[in-house]
Amino acid sequence: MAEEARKQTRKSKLGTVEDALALVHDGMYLAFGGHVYFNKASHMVRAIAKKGVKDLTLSGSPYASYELDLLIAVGAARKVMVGNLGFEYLGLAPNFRKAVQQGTIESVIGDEATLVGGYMATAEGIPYHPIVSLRGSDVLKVSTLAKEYIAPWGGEKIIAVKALNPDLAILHCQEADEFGNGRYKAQPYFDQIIAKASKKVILTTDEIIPHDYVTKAPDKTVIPGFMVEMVLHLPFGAHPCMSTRNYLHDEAHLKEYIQCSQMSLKEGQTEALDEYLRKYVYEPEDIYDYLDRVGGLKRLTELKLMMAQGRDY
Amino acid sequence: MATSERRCSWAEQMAVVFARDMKDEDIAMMGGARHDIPFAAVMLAKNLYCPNMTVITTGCYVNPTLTAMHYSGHTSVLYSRDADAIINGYDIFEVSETGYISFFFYHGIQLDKHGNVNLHFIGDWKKPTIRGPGAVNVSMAVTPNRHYLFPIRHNKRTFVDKVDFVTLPGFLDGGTSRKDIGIKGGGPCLCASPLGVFDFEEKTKRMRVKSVHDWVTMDEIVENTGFELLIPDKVPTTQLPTDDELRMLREDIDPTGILRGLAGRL
Repeated sequence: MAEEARKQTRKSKLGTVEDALALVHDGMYLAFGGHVYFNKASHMVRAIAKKGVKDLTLSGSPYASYELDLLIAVGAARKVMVGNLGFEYLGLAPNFRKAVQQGTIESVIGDEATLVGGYMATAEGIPYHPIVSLRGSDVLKVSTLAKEYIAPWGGEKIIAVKALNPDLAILHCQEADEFGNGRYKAQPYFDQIIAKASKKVILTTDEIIPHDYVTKAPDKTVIPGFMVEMVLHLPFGAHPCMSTRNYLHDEAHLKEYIQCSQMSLKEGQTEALDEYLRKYVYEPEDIYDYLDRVGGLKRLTELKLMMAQGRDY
Repeated sequence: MATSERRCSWAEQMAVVFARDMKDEDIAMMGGARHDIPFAAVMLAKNLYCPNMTVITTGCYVNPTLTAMHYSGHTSVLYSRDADAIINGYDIFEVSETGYISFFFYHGIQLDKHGNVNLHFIGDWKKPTIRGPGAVNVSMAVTPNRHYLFPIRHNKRTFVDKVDFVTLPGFLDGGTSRKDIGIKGGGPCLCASPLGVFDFEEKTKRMRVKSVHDWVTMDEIVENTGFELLIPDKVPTTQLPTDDELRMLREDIDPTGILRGLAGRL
């Protein structure tokens, strides 16, 4: 009897996109996991964009990409804290550039040490983290995240980077169980430290695995479920970004996004971007509708195969 | 002279210049927002000259096995599957802060006569005419022993007297100014561009011509540089790739010819 009672206390953390959106409000500070265009919780990003949330503060890994640029494109962002924001070999982030050049968002300049140091400070329960590596850079002069101070021992000038405490971290992993134990098939990048620094964590995953897969190989758990508020089963949820080892980024789709966005850099030519957003962000009813619109099972299978074979496109 | 008539492309020449400068005991950080030339240089050195060199990628792989290059450096390494270890972003933070890394690569939208690099703003940073990509990691210009500069365009807009914004400190205002503010890392040691190879004079820390690529003249370099370069009396021609270097580059590292097809140069 007691055994049964104990079993009943462990609740599944599986949620729907709607459940997760109920946790997202205007003015919040959201942090995204992944790196460059890998392991992005892209479907949640589109869902947040569709909900019409405003005045968000955003950060993530020191190399942000699709997730921040899209939220800037739909006008959801008030402030972004970034190192590099771009698409690596595919080019710069058009909506970010436009917003900064037109002064429509606040862009706080940081880098790897600034952002990761900021997450570490929160994880350690202190207001800042000491670093040395911004010395001599103008980033130190213009960033609101970094200040110099004199070390209490040795008298050396040290740089304090401000603690970052996101209201919500939104991460994507390759597989998780229903209790939110997240596993990655390759590198987790900065996801662990972002999770530790955030008040709540939403984990999206390509695949839900049985709980006993986790308990039989606990060394493979990267994000332990106790840190996770909610886990969402979103197959191909990182598309058009890569989910490492599962499927490749959709280069053609990212190019379409970048091209449509670049046209809007010119005054008054927002039709292409509006059309893109209508087709892929505002109209899709759910992830399956979205996946059909980007080429359906055929295209997604291609992306899986390309990843498996290490093939060029 | 068309590339096809030359022994190698400018990008291949740059990769070879850097590869030859690496040492067996180095701990290389490989990666960055632009990945092609660093990837080729490190893979060439590791597999031809420096078998004991440790290679850590910004994508968190340690000693990835040799794999063919893809436009996306990050993807190239992901394809390889094999590595000594996979680490995480916090590990990268650690090695970035401590000076544990021997070298890293940077390019930029501007670089100046003292090796400072701008990746952020053209014009005033408060109201820029161009907002560049920014930097993932400034620390690799501050804490390691040395870093390499690999500008992929050599013209008066990129080689400027003074950068509009110092994203990555080189020798700042020259002389001892880098040391004076307490930076322990050595600074930019070598710059290879599509036109030539450059280093920094010991006292003034001003950029100096080290060699001129085989198909380039000194006049061409001077005409395309926005500041006065130090030019020694005798400047050699950059040593072309050897047969072994070229074979490994074209057969193993870059079989699809990415480094032969790069646009740009001037």
